[in-house]
Amino acid sequence: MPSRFGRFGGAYVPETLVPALRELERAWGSARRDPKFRAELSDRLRTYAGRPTPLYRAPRLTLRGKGAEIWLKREDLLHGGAHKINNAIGQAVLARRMGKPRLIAETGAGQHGVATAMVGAALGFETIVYMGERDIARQRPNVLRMRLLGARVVPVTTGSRTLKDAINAALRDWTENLPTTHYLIGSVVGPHPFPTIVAAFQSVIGREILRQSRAAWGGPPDLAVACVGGGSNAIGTFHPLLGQPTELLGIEAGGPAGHATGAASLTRGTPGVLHGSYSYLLQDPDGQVLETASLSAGLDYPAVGPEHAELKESGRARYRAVHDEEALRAFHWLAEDEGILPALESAHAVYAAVREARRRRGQHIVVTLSGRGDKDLEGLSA
Amino acid sequence: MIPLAQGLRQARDRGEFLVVPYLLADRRRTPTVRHRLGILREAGAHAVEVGIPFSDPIADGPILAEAAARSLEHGTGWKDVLATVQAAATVLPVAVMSYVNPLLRDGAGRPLEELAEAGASALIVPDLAEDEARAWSDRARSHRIDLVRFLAPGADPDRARTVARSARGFLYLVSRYGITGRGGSNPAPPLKPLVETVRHTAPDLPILAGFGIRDATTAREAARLGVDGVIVGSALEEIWSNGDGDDPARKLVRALASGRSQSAFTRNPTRNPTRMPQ
Repeated sequence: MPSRFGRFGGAYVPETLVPALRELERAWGSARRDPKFRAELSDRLRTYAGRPTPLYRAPRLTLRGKGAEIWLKREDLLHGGAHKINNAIGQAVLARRMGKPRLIAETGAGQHGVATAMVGAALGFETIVYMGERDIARQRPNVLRMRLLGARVVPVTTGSRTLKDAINAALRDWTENLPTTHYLIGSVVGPHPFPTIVAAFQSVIGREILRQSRAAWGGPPDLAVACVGGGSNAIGTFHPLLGQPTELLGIEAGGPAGHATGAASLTRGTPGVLHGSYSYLLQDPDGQVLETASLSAGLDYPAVGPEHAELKESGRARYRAVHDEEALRAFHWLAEDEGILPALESAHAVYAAVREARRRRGQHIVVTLSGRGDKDLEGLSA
Repeated sequence: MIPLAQGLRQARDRGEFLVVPYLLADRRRTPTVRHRLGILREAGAHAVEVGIPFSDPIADGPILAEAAARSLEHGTGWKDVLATVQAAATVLPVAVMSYVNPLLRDGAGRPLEELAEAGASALIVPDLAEDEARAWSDRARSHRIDLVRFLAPGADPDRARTVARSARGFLYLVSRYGITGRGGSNPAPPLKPLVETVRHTAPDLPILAGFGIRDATTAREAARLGVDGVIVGSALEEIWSNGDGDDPARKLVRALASGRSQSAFTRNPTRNPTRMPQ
């Protein structure tokens, strides 16, 4: 299984983690060809997660865009409220195959933590979720959900106290507890084989889009838009569309208007190594990772999955940053136009889609609505 | 200063138990580097591992991670790192410890060249496992820097042989599942057979154990695995960051240096005194 995407990716990890990564690669290699594994996965996705999700034509949002038809891939309707469950189910079944009784996960917005807590409960794992202290404060409802679902939420008080530091903490826990523990990483980041495995589990999004778009208008989308933090819902959307004539657009968090970096590693960063892979990174000239800024905790990450770095360099996908205020506007558009409260993460993509629509009359745009906004309400009403 | 590899082999062949302390580069400590290392050398240290602080040190436990964060808060930059290496190299042979990312600045060649010029003769990169290490090893070699390799619990004999064959300078044995200064509750699979495999494959290569070495007892446990010495980081950093002064640091290094002599160590590995350095 290739460990790189062009020059990006790889496995920059302590030697201690190598046997675990190899074990995971072997387990995935055999599971993906095993009809029993595939049957269990698709059954759980259907009966537990709620797949397939609809592809919804958003008529009033389309009017606002004044151009292309805008369609929403409704990952927000999944159990738990986000696309994260696709990957969590897949990795949990894989972890059970490897005989590991304990799951650890990192979480930013809390959506991946909730997904891991749900599958941890449903499949009978001990579940520990690392979450930055700052994210705990801004995504309270998800913290409560994780606890109710039986997971232990461990606050991370080091560094920027956000997603980046939660991943550091999870990697350290994993190194200490390899024999018993699977690190259920939540995005297409980390060392090989994680980006490949997570992309495979999330590609169900793009496969459904392709099937549904063919049924709805007889072809693939002209443009697919998804938000990018680590980049898992975007990779899941893009992967099955790579061989199609679809334009691919990833939207990063630009942070507050005027902020130098926001959390936009592809559009404002340079190549480097963080969390085990070589990709784009927000860093200072000494190679120290910078603190990021975004109102959406799920995008607030200074690096990005290595496959996105390759898609950017090859030109197959484009990436742009949308800043906080723009994302907030799109949140309200979608609420008022369509009666849908999107996650602030997904609102970044909605904004870009509406802006793209104008010059694309007659085209079909699909936006992956990666999650719902219930978790963000506290911050919005404050 | 003689190269680290040579210094370690000579001391080992004299029958000494090797002790390599870790010193994190910190702008505020640069003026005291020579003094601190002088004390440690006198107490029995054979070389020093100079750490480059990094914002995301995934292999480090709380003590070293916090020390790195403080160092960055103090404004430690590349120039301070070079100044620390330079000062350290006047006292002891220097191995530099850095995560991969700080070594990528200006393209990967330049930092290695500058570290070599400052006096480093070995490089330890905790997030560079064997598979990614090869390209780096060649690059380092062209600057006369040895890229140290790691061997960790759970490795199979094949891995041990591969690592032993490619190791330069010394082999860093990770003595347990865990991060620096802190281990989990999972016992590591037996390490002694791995050490023996390394000995068989690369008889002249010094082996140093690290992670969790903090006193005479842990040094003795390491010695029983058949290693040539130990690396100590968190325990020393704790002394320094508490401001406990020279005496506890001196005592710690002495205790570690006596690791083998106080142990029930019987199998003193036979060495061929006429063997030429690699």
